[in-house]
Order: sequence, then C-alpha cells, then structure tokens
Amino acid sequence: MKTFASCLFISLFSTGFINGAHQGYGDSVRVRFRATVNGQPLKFDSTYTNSFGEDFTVTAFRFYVGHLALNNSNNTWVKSRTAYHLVDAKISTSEIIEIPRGTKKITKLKFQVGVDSLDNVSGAQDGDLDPAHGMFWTWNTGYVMAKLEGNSSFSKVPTGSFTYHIGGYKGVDKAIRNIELSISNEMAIAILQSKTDDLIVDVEIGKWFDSVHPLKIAEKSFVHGPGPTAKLYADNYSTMFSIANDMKP
Amino acid sequence: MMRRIFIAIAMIFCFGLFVFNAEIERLAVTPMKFPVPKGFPLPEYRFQNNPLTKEGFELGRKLFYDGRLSKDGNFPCASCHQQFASFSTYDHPLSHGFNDQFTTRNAPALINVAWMKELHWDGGINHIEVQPLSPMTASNEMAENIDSVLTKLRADNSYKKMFRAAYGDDKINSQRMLKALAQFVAMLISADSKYDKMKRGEASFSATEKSGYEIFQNKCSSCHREPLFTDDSYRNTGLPVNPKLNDFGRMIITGKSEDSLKFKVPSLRNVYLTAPYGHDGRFYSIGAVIDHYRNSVVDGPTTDSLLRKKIAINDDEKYDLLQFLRTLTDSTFIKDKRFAQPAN
Repeated sequence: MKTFASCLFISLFSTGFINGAHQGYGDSVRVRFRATVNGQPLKFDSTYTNSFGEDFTVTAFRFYVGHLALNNSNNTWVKSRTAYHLVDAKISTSEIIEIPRGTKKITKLKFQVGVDSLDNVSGAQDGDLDPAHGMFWTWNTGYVMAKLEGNSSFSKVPTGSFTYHIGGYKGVDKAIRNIELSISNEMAIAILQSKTDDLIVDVEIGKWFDSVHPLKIAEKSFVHGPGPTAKLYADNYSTMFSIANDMKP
Repeated sequence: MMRRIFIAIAMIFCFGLFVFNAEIERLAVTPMKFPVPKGFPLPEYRFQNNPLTKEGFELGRKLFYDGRLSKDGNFPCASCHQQFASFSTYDHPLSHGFNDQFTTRNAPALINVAWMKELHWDGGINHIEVQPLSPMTASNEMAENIDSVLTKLRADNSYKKMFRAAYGDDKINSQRMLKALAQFVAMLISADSKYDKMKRGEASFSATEKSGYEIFQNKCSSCHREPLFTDDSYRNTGLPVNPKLNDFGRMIITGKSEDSLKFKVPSLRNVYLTAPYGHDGRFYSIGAVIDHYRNSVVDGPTTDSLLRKKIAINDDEKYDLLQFLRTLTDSTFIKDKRFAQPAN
C-alpha cells in the first residue's frame, strides 16, 4: 500500500511531461481571425460610424482565443496544440489545428474568448500569455481578455480616446465567453479541398458598441478593470464572430 | 523506519518542496532548500514550476538591486525595500518614485512573503511572481515597461551569463526575470528574533516582555496572529480616509462597498525597523498606533468588529507591550549578507 501511494505521486507528475507528445496527424486547417468594421476589413487609418452615429477610429484591437477546436466527421473535437492564441489585428497570424488524415467533414469551430481562471492565478507565464504583450493588469492581477482602443469625437475623456480593456476571472466578474460557430457544408468542402486550408473567422468590431447591450462611446469611454461594465462588453463581443464566406487571407 | 521514509517521500511530493526535479538534474544548477522555520505553517508559494536554485536566487538578487528595472535608473526594487529597514522604506510615510512623485502608500516590509496569499495593502496581486510588474510599470514608481527592461538586460553580458547559469540558455524574457525575482523575495525569511529564540528555548523574556506578550496575546493576536504576526486578512482599523489620497483599499480591487477602507493586516515582525506605520504611513511611532487603537478608532460602516469599541490598554500595559514588540526585531535578518546588494 505504501509503495502504491508513492508510485501514484510519480505517475501524476509524469503525465505532465507526456502531455506535450503529439500523435501523428497528417492534415491541418489554418484558422485565421479577420477584423472587420461594418462588414469591411479593418483599416487603422479609416474613420467609421457605429450604429448610434458616433464616429470612431481603431488604434488597437486584440483578444485571447483559448482552447480552439474543430468538430470533425466523427463528431469529436480536435484541439489546437496551443492553449491560447493572442489575436492582434496589427499582426497577421493564424492558428493551426491538425486534423486526422482523410477528415471528410468539419462541422463546427469552438473556442473561448479569454484566459482560464487557473491561468490567471498561476504566476509568470510566457508565450502568448507573456505579460509583456500588454494584455495584463499589473495592479489587480489578471489578463485583459479583449482590448479595443481608438478615438472618437464623442469620447468623454480629454484625449478623445476610448479604451475598453475587458477581463475578469473571479466569480460573478467572470468575463470568459464561449463561442461555437457552425461551418456550412460548402465552406467545409472548400476548406478541405483547398491548398491553403484556411478557415477565416470574421470579427466584427461594430458589435462592441451595439449588440446584446447598447453601449455608446459618449456614455462609456473607458473600462479598465473587471466588473459589471466589463461583462456588458464581453456579452457584446461574444456576438462578433462569424465564419467568413470566402477564403481570402 | 519504513514509515518514516514513506512520510518523507510523501512530504517531498505533496508539498512540492523541490528536491526531486528532473529539470534541476539536467541543468548544471545548485538546488537550494527552502527553509520553513520551526513552528511556521507551509508557505503559500511552493516554487511550482520555479525550482529554487542558487543561480536563480542570485539572478533575482541582482535584479532586485538593479536600477535598470526603472525608467531613469534611479529606482531599483531596493530603493523602497531597504534591507536595514527589513525591506521597507526607512522614515518615509509614502514611497518616492520616478520624476519626484509620491506613491499613495507606505512600502511594506518584504519579509515572509512566501506565506502571503495575496500581495499589496489591497491584496490586488494574486501571485508573488507577477508582483514586480506592478511597481515596474506604475508611472509614479519605476515608470518602465517590460519590453524596455528586457532590452536593457539583454544588452548586458553579465545578465546573459546569469540567465544561462539559471536556465540553461541565455534567453531573457519576462517569465524568467519574474521567476528569479520571486526566488530572491521568497527567500527573505525572518524568523530569528528574540521572540523566536524564546520559542526555541534559546532565550528567555524579561518580566516586562513576558507581561507584554500576555497583553499582546489577549488584545492584538487575533489579527496579528503568531507565528507570522498577521492573519493575512483585510480589515478597516478605523482610520479616517485621507482626502488627498482617497485610498479606499481593498474596495478598489473587489469593487464591493463592504471592502471599503480595508487594508491587509501587516506583520509585526521587525516592527521597530519599519516606521512609519499604517497603509499611508500616517503614524510615526508604534506608540502612536497603540494610541489610535486606545482612543481614536472611527466607528464607520466597515470598521472591524474587534475595534468598534476601541482596545482598552492602559499606560503600564502600553509600556509592556512596546517592550514585547521590541523582541520581534530580527537583527540576523537585516545583516544577512545573502540578501545584501551584490558586489558586481
């Protein structure tokens, strides 16, 4: 019994090392997030108008995608190898999901916007969770799960900016949002047959201001911490994702 | 015998106290033991994913004393956390930062930090490894940004060497910097005061100290709980808010009105070295703090129930209490060369 107990400890420790091993998948799908405003690809030098008639420009747009996974023909979820991916509208990147060779069908894409509670309380991280990426509250520990910054003549702050830093991992303040998107048959076929294997997710910035809740820039020009207001924006941006109808980069 | 061996093995694994570590074996590093003082509970920070090594500790020590972690080079961690003051700021109610600015709080003593669940007066920091990011990036403290600090470190060959010694290669990133700082700060253990010696049977209290200890146990120790001399909780001790600072403490973090004016209970270890007192350093002497508890606690909506009626301490008791608090000074700790500014 005594020996068994110590063996158990060792095996628990060992699994941590094995986890990184990868089974031999052959094919992959590249998932890209493409920021749009009013349906058009985001341009940082353009002035836009939201549904309340407020003008705005975008200077920064970033969010964490966590636990990205594709549903395949066997109705199983195939996960991305990396737990988190920081999407930054200024940097073109994609996340690769390796799917079993010969996958005939992909039906759904799911992910969360944000960083798990556990990863908010586990100290210094690296990679996409490196606090140097500026998606981290240093005075009230926790990740900024999504960030939208820009300028508007309707802003109430002296510099004319709006800064929405949305996060919260504790109890009622939790701002993590789960997203699940269906992939049409035509799109699934096109993706699996194409050479680029790109699955593009459009990310509509306009939804931040008006979707589940109406949130005018004139009424709220900044959010810099977790809480009830941050959650309103999280509700709104949880509706900003859709599978694109094209496969252009 | 078997039973003892088993317990020893189980303890090593359960408590993660870093003896068995494949990574340590692979790297040519010198593992260090984290010494839990007799009578102390297990620490909150157990060096998970950050095995304590001589090389990591020394790197953390160099970083702690390095002004390059601040924008203008003048504000290393050690500028507000001075060893002779038990790693608090000597004689300053509020810390000074970049460009002649004041912060809004008194720098807390960095002792026995590994036993704290949360850090800062308001508990805003949930992990020892990420704490340095707060002063480093605050515009009225070190006023730097992380990338800029890393650029400065990468340009210095001595850092390349030390990162390689600690981590096996010379990659310098925020995670490695923060983990090394955590190793140094977590090692700032103070447990060698006269009080500790008395507990270990190596010293004995005078009659006055003994009397002071009894008064302490009756009237102070429910918040300043032994052996850490804090229960790590947040309480409103009936200090009226300073209208120029408007610091509402814990409420800033939780957003809850019931946390208004609550601050972390500070440890009383080395209390004679850490003046001034209070979250904003408004008390210049320990006597003044005791007088506050005797006479001037403000009974507001969140004032701690233990303090509502103030604490009855007469002048004789106050004298004895002060004599007892003197026994909490750990002179070994403040002279410990391992924690001093490194030579290079």
